[in-house]
Order: sequence, then C-alpha cells, then structure tokens
Amino acid sequence: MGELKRIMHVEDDPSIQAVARVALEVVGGFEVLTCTSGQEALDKVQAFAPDFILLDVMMPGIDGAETLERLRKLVDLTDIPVAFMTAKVQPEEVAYYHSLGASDVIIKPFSPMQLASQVRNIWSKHHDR
Amino acid sequence: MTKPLPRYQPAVVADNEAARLAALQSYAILDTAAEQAFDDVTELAAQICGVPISLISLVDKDRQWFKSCLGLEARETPRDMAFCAHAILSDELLIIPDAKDDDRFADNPLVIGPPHIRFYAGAPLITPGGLRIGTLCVIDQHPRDLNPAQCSALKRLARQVINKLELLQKLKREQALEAMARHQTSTALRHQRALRALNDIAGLPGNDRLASLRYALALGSDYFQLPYAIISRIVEDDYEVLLQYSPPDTLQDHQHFSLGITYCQLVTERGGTIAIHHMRDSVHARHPCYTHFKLETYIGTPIMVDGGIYGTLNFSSPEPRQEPFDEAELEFLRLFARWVGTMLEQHLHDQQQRSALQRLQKIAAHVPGMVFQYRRRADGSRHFPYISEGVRDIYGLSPKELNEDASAVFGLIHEDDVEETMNSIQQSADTLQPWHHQYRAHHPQKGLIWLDGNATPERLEDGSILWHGFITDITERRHQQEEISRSRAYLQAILDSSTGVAMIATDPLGTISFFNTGAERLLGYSAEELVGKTSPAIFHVQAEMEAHGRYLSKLYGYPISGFEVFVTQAQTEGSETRQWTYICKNGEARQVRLTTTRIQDSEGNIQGFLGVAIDMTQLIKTSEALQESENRYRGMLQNLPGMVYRRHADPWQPFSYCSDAFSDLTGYALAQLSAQTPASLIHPADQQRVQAQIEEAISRQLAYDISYQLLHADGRLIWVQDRGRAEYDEHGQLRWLDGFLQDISERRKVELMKSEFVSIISHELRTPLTSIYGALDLIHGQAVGQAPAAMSSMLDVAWDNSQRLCQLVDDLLDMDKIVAGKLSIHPRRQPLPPIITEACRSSSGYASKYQVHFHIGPLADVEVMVDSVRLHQVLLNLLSNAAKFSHQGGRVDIGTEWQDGQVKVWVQDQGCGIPAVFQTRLFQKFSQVDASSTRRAGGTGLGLAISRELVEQMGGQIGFDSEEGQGSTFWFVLPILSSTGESVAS
Repeated sequence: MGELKRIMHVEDDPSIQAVARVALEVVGGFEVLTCTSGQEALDKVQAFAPDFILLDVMMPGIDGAETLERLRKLVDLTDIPVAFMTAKVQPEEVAYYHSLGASDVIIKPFSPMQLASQVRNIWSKHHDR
Repeated sequence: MTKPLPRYQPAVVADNEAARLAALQSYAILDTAAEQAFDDVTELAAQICGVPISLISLVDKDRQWFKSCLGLEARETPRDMAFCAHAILSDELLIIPDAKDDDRFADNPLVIGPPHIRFYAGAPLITPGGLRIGTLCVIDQHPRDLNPAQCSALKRLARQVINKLELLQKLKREQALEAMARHQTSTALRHQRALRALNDIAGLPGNDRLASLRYALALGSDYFQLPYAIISRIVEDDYEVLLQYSPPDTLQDHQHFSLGITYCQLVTERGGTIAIHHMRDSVHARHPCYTHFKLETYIGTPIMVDGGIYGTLNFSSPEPRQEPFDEAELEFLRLFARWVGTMLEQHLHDQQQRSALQRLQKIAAHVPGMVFQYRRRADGSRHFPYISEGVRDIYGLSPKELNEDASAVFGLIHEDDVEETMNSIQQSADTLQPWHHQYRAHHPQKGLIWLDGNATPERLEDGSILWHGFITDITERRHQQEEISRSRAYLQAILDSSTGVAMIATDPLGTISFFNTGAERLLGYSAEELVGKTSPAIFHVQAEMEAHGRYLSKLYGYPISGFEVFVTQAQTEGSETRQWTYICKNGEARQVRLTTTRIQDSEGNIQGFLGVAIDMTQLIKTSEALQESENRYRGMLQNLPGMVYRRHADPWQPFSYCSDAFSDLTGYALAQLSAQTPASLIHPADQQRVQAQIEEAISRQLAYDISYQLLHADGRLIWVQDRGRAEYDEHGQLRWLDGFLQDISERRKVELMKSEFVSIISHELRTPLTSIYGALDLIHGQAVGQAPAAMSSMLDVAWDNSQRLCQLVDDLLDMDKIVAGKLSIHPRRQPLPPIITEACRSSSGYASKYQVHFHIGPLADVEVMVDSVRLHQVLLNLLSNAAKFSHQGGRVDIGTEWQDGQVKVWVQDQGCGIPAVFQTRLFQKFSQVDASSTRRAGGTGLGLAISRELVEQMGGQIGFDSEEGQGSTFWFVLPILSSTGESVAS
C-alpha cells in the first residue's frame, strides 16, 4: 500500500471546488487536481495518477456514475478508492453507488474541516479490505 | 142288730200331712214284699219287750200298712182305728198299758175283737226331714208296761228302721238313674254318631259344599235305613231334586216334579216335620204321592235358608217301617236340616260372592286403569290382595306377581315422585283419609306415564291398613292440561303484557265484556266505566261508522248500522282489519288499526267478538321520524367525499353495504354491488399489503388507515385511502368491518409534487449551502489564515447559522421521509461503543460552543443491529440537545448499562430540565419547550421526533427522565445481539 498523496476532485460547482481544494490541500496537506467535468477527469486521470478520486454525482455532460464507469476502463482502480459526493442520500441511492464500485459516499453539505480525515478513513478502509 | 156307735176316737191329722205323705211315697215302700231286714227288727223288738206282736206300720193316707208284722195276720188296717195314727202325732213313745182303761181305745174293734189288743207301745219313724211316716210298735193281749231300757231299745230300733228305709231309697234312686242313663245311651248313640259325622263333614276342608251335602245324605240314608235321600228346592209349585242319594237308576239331581205329588207338599203346608212309618195305615194313604210312588215310609222336614223355606230334607222308602219314628230320630232330622240349611246358605252366599266377584272383574276389566286392594301390614310388608288386570296397563305387571308382594310397583315410580308418593300414602294411613295422588311411573312399554290414584283406607283388626281404590293413566289428560295451562299462561302473558295493544271484547249484541289495560291506556276510559254497560260505539266517530255502514249495506244487500258495522265482516269472514278513529275520553282522536274476530264455542255459535286495536298514531309518527332520520342519514352520506361501507373480514365476500358513492368511486352501478368484493377492487399489487394491514388491525383491535390503488370500472387506477375498523359483538366476536373509502388520487398527486418539491428544494439548497458552510468552516478552522478580530466574530455568526441551516435542511428531509413512510434504515450487526465515541467526537463542536464538558463513562461491550449512520444521528441529536440546554460550564454524562438482553444508552445533563406540562409533547413534531428556549437554543424541534422514529425502527425505545430545574436524562434502549459481558473504556 502506497501513501495517500494525490487526490482527484471532480466537481462542476466552482464554490465547492474552492472549498474542497482548501479543505484537502490546506487542512489535509494533499496534492489536489480539480476537474470541472467528468470528461476533464477522464482526460487527466492517467497523467495525474491519483491515489484517491472524489466524484460529484450531479454534473452536466457525463455524470458521476458514468465517469466512474469510464475511469475504470482507463485505469486500474483496485487500489484507488472512489468516493461520491452528493446531497442525494436516499438509502437506495447509496446502495446504487456502492453497487457501482464506490468505496463510500460523502454527504453534502460536508464539513471541510473534517473532509480530509473522512477521505483518509475511506482510504484506510479500502486498503484494509 | 144295729152297729153300736164307736166311742173310740180316730187320731187327729197333723198340719204337715201332705209333706208327710210325699215323704212316705218317696221311699216307694208301700205294698212291697216283706223283707228279712225289717222282720229282724220286729222280732228283736218283740223279744226285748216280751210281747207276742211287733209291727213296722207305715201310716198312709187312709190306712196303715205293715212292712213287717210279727204275730199278726193282717197286712194293713184302716187308719181311723190305728193306734199308730196316734203315735205319729209326737216324737215320743206312745205307751198304752191297758187299752180297756183308755177312752181313746177302749171300744176300738182291735181291742174288743181280734187281735184283742190290751197293751200298745209305738216309737214313731222320723225321717231325716223330721216327718213321722209310721211307727215301730209292740202289742200284747194283756195289759202291761215297759221298763225304761225297753223304751230306749224300742226308740233305737225305730231309728234303725228309718236308716234302713233311707238306704233303700238311695239305692233305688241310683238304680233308676243308672237305668235311665243306660236307656239314653242306647237310644241316642246312633244319631249322636250321625251328628258327629255331620259335624265332621262340616269341618272337612275344601269348598265343595254340594259334595259334602251328598255325603251327608248317604249318612242320613244309612241312619234312617231309608234308601231315598233328597234335598229339594221348592219354588211355588215346582219341586226340584237339588241333591239326592238313591239306588242307581232311580233319582237324578235336578229332576223336577210337581210339588203336589210329593209328600213334601205336606211339609210345606204344615211348616213342620212329617214322619210316617207306614203310609197304608196312615191318614195320608190317599195322598197322590202314595198312589204315584208307593212310598210307605217318609220322613221330611223343611230346610230354612235366610229365614224362609228353601225346600225339604227327606228320606223315604217303598218299604214300611216296623216302629214309628221316635223323638230322637225327629230331632236328628231337624238338626240335620238345620245343618243342611246352613250349608246351603253358605253355598248360595259363595255363589253370590263368586258371581259378584265375576261381575266385579268384568266391570274392572272395562274400567280404564286398575282397581285394587292394597294392604300394608303392621310389619311394613305390602301386597295387593286384589288387583285387576288393568295393572298391566298401569305398571306393565301381572296381577299374580303383586298378590303377595307389592314392591315391584314402587320400583316403577319416577325417582323424583317417589318421596312425595310415599308421603301421601303415609298421610292417608295416619289420618285414614282417602288417598289421592298424581305421580309419574315408568311403564315398561309405554315409557313415562302420569298416573292418578284414588283409594280409601281402612284399618283392619290385625293392625294392617287396607286401601280400596283405583289408579288411572292420565298421561294424555295431563298433557292436555299442560297444553291448556301452557296456552292459558301464554294467553295470560299476552293479555298482561299487551299494555300497548287495546283488547276489547263484546257479547254478541255489542256490550263490552272485556277491556284490557292497553285499552284503558289508549282510550282513557277505565274498564269499570264500560264493561257491561255500553257498546264500543261510544269511542267511535259517528260519521265513520255511518260511512262503513253504507259500504257494508251495499256489499251485503241489506241495511247495516250501529254495532253491526264493526262485526258484520267478522261474523261472515271470521275477522276484519281496518283503520278507525278512536275518540279518547279526553276528546283526543287517535288512529287505530282494529282487527275484529268472532269468538265461537265448539259448536260454532258466536259467543261474542274480540277487537284488538293498535294505536297507529304513534306508529305513524315513529315511522315518519324514522323516515326523516333515514333521509338525514342518507343525505349526510351522500354529501360525504367518499363511500361508507360495511364488509366482511374476508375480502372475497361481497360488501354488506355501500353508500351511494360506490358508483362514483368505482364506476360500477350500485346494482352491481353484489358482484364486487373488496379484494376484487384492489390493485393486485396492493392486495397482499392491504390484507396484511387489515388483519394486523383486526388482531390488535385498532383502526386501520391504508392507501392503495383501486381498479376503476373503466380500467383506471385510483389512489384511495381506506380508513376503518372492525366491529365486535358483546362476546368479542368479530362482526364486520366498517369503513370509509375516499378517492385521494388528487391529494396524492399534490403530495407527490410537494415531496418532489421538498426534495428538489433541499437538494438545490444544499449545494450552495455546502459551499457557504464549507468556506465559513475553513475560515472558522483558520485553514486559510487568521481573520482580523472584528471580522472574525461576524464570520463566526455566519458559520454558526450556516451550520444550523444545514441541520434544518437535513431535518426537513428526514421528516418528509418519515411522513411519507419512506424513511428506511439498513441495520447491520456491529459493536456499539465506537458509534458512541464517534458521536461524541462529532459533537465536540457543540460542547465547546456551549462550554459544556462531555464525560463518557465505561461503555458496555455489546453488539447491536443498527444503522450506524442513523444511530449516530440520534446520538448527535441527544448530545446537541444536552449541550444546548445545559448551563454554561455544565457537565454532560454519557453512559450505558445493560440488562436482560438490552442495552440502555443515556445522556444526562444538569440543565434546566423539562417542565412537566411539556413532557408529553416532547417527541411530537415541531415541539420545543417554549419560544424563549427556541430562541436561546435554536433548532427545528424535529430532532426528537426523528430520533424516536429511528430508534423504534431499529427495534428500540427512546425516553427520558426529567425534573424541571434538575436536569434531564435522555436514553434509548436497544436489543443486544451479543455481549462480552465486559465494559470498554471510552
């Protein structure tokens, strides 16, 4: 198991992009690549080689679920946890995300001060499996 | 020569001469032969006195007779010249020394002639009774005297003579008696034997008296030595040979003769015994019987039976008898006849008794039931001396088996009636009053029957009691009586209870004869005022009567008026029912339905009429009221926004009732209702769920409220809300379901829209909130450097409120889910302590914010089945509440305790507590203690309601203990899946 350093954050809302970047870079001390759409994430994932991917669900263009589907075809995600970030927390939705292969779901609104530790927890759990 | 007059004087005659003569006669000695014994005495006397002559002279009435005479030829001399006649006048010796010197005897022929008596001395013969019957005397032809010794000897010898006479007399009397006895024995012996034989016959056992009589006739025939013996019966001129004993081929029983040609005719004529020993020589030689039968000997006597002549007993023979019949024979015959009479009497009585008994038995056989004599002896044993054949009908027993022992009868009496029956018999025995009792018995063939017994008791000399009586089977009568009394009671009950019905009876002419309470109540008249006095017309409307009279007159073709208008129809048709107006005593008019019937006796004669009137006034009013109520109810139902129904618990049974809205709701006509069942209307996808929920409600006796899709007749699906509950009878048995079905398609659409709206809004709100809160949180966490102090406090306000806004949106979303029933949780088996510690860590922000300290006690190391996210939410809610409502610097304790398979998690603060009035509302939606608290602490008031829902869905319970001013302890309890039995430190 490697070290959690690089996090790819895919999010269309600039406000949340900004908040998450501060939360992960400043509070968590991670290296963050923010992608504004699913396509951008697909384009950059191989070059960036993230240790962790945070995916917003509701995005224009290709949504979070499809982005995950496509990402899996480009890179081996076995060791890269993928967490969805969403306000839709209906249990069946959560189940759905898990069925897509997500490691966890981070509910919006999230606490930026807690986000880094949340990510770390997910990353640990994923690698403990 | 003339006979010289005698100078001598005859002796005087003493007063007791008659007795003296009788005494003399009693010795029977006169004119008897001489006897040596007496001659010895005279010899001795002569010698002693030294005289030639000595005599024993007995002085008879006119003579003196010498039983012994010594020295004298004559045996007697006349009494008037007798010296002895003088001697018997005294008890002393009479001594005449010289008769020539004594005037009494000087010229006595016996002195002057032979035997020339000169001396005489006589000692009187004195009987033991003192009578002097004669003398012992000595005589000499020379004068002389006697010395005293000679005197004494003479006297003694005289006594010896008397002794001798006494002896002789005694001997003779004995001999006579003996002879008489001998005579009697010989003559009586024969008929004594015969009588004894008769007696023996009479004592013979056996009842055949006629045979005894025939044997007696044989005996009589032998006694009299007469071959024909007959007992006849005579009725007027008819002579019947009732019984006979005769030589073969001569007479026969029951031969009849004319009385006139029998000797018995003489017997009946005289009423006494006739005995002829030789007819030819008798006065009866010309009797027809003699010429007819040539009977020479006949003896006959009447037989008396019951005080009258019954016939004769006679014996006869063609041979004459040597001797006439003697008295003994006649006596024998009379005795014989008397005995025969007695025998015949008994025989006739027997016959009468037998025929009476036969008659009785014949009667008894035709009497329904049984006739009996029942005897209870002093020792308690009981039997039926007589019991008729009817006992078979009463007890199914035969008379024979009861003659000796009556017990079998008592075994048949119904067990419930035994005691009373025995008591009634005992009472009859004690009082000797007639026994009368009705009771039940088990007849072997007929089953249980009712019996009626009657008997009269009689106390017998042996102490037993004899009842004469009869018992009849009254089962049918009893049943009839019961039937009658039942129907009578029934009728009575009707009359008694029908105070709401007027019953008025009249006689055939219309006078009221019965007026019941109902009539009194209806009309206001009392029975007393009307019965026997007036016709019902008094409370009728004249015009109505006239109108009906006209109608009837036309119908029957003759004028009908007055009372007739009420009864003409009933008279001809049996009854009539029509409406009338009654005018009550107080003038009030009432509408009645009057049914008039004729009352007939068993022969169809009209005895009167009965009118039964029902007050329709009230009925009409009531039915109007009912109609009105029905209309109101129907109107209400029609205005309801849905359908009211009543149905079975089984959804496949048709509806019992549906209001008119059925057709609007389902699209089916109301007429098709019976073809529809609750189940057939429910969308198949919902059927199972609906049924399960209804069954659940029934089992818990709760109302149900279910929404489902209904299949409309046109194929549409309609969302309906079905609210109802089961109804139970008084025994708790389910009767039916009553409910209300409402179309909620529209409402549901609105709800869906609202739900969607909330969902969209909350989502749309969340995205900007996430940014605002995230940015503020980072600033607040000083992730982007230190803000200037003045700005910092404002940023804190923004951060705090953005956090609350997030919470508010979350709560709203949760509540929306709860309301929609869509809040679902996903329990997983997991340890409890980490969830608690995690929640405390998450709540540390609140702790610092409200300046309270969280203290986590030892936590039970248990596993529970929970949704960790939701349990986290609950704990967060409790912890934030505790922080909010604590005083500054206060302490909040978190702990667990476990017992009985459950773990209790508690959060205790030392805050202001919860006012008692508010405690009940605490878990309701949008509740907060008061506005000031709300302001101070903030919050949606949804937290506890959501927490309760979550805990309950995880199989737990939530609650609190609080006192105002003393702080609160909130807790929830969860079932434990496993436990190490240890605690872990936080």
